Amino acid sequence: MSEELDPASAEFARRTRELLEASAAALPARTRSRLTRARYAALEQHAAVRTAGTRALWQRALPAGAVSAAVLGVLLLVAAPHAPQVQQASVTGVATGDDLELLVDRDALALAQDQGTADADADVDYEFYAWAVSAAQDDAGPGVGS
Amino acid sequence: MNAFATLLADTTSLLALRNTDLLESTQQETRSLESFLAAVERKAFRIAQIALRHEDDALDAVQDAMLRLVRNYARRPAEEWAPLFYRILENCVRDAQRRRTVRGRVMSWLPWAGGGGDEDAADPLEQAPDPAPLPEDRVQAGETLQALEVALAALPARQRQAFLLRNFEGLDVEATAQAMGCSAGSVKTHYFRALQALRAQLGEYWA
Repeated sequence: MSEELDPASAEFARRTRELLEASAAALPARTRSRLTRARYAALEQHAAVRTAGTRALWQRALPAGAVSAAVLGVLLLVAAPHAPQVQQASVTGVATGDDLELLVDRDALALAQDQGTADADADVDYEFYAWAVSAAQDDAGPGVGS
Repeated sequence: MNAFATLLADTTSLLALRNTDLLESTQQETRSLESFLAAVERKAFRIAQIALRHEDDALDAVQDAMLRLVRNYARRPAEEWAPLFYRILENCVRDAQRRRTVRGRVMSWLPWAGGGGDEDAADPLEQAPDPAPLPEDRVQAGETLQALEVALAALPARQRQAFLLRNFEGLDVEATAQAMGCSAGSVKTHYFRALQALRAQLGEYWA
């Protein structure tokens, strides 16, 4: 109470308040029961409305989320073969699946090294190739001349 | 494909979490509303009963006010419920008074209003407001309370509302102003005038 009341008015207000509060506290059981039923009816309505609202939100959100995820997944699948970073990975030397197979297979690695080395001539057995050529010519010689 | 499955699982779990939060929020809100309504229902009933002088009409007004508050303002902060509820209650009391007035006029013009012809028709005497307190009240309340109720009922509506909300319900000036839809200064004026009128009328009971 912020109003400034004279003592007599303040006392009058206090007594009326006590009287009214006592009457509210002493309501008949039948009236109290009806008030309780009214309260429960309001709360049941509230619960029903909120539950229906939550269910509606769930029913709307779940299909929307699933559709969004499906669209995103399809986009990822469609865009994956054309992704530029895959081509770039092999160019820049980042290990790809082919590189790993080369490392595991020793023979393939040696072959790749032979094919990829610029000064491979140093390791070529020229004498063997010369012998092989001459041997082939010797084998074919008599047949040709006769 | 794995990315799709992961995304779908994350979305589903997020939605389930959101659903759980909403359910918990609803339950907490319901508990708060129940506490509020249980705290105000008796005083609200007495306020409506003093204004309407009729128990059933008062109960209907309180129930209607509860339903409207829950339906329209449950999401508002709890500290706003009291002024909102009493504003709604006052509107319900006015609606009941208007219905009673219209019903009284219609019944006074009907030739069969005396209730002799149609047995299914409602008895106007049963529907008329009871000018006297209920028997239960007569047993429990003394002469002073009856005199106070009569004096309060005779006050102008705004004065009665200001007095009951400030003095009986214990709302502060600002909350009372919100409930009455007027300024704080008007609340103080109505309250002061109500106090003076009641003192002048009931002085003999407090002598």
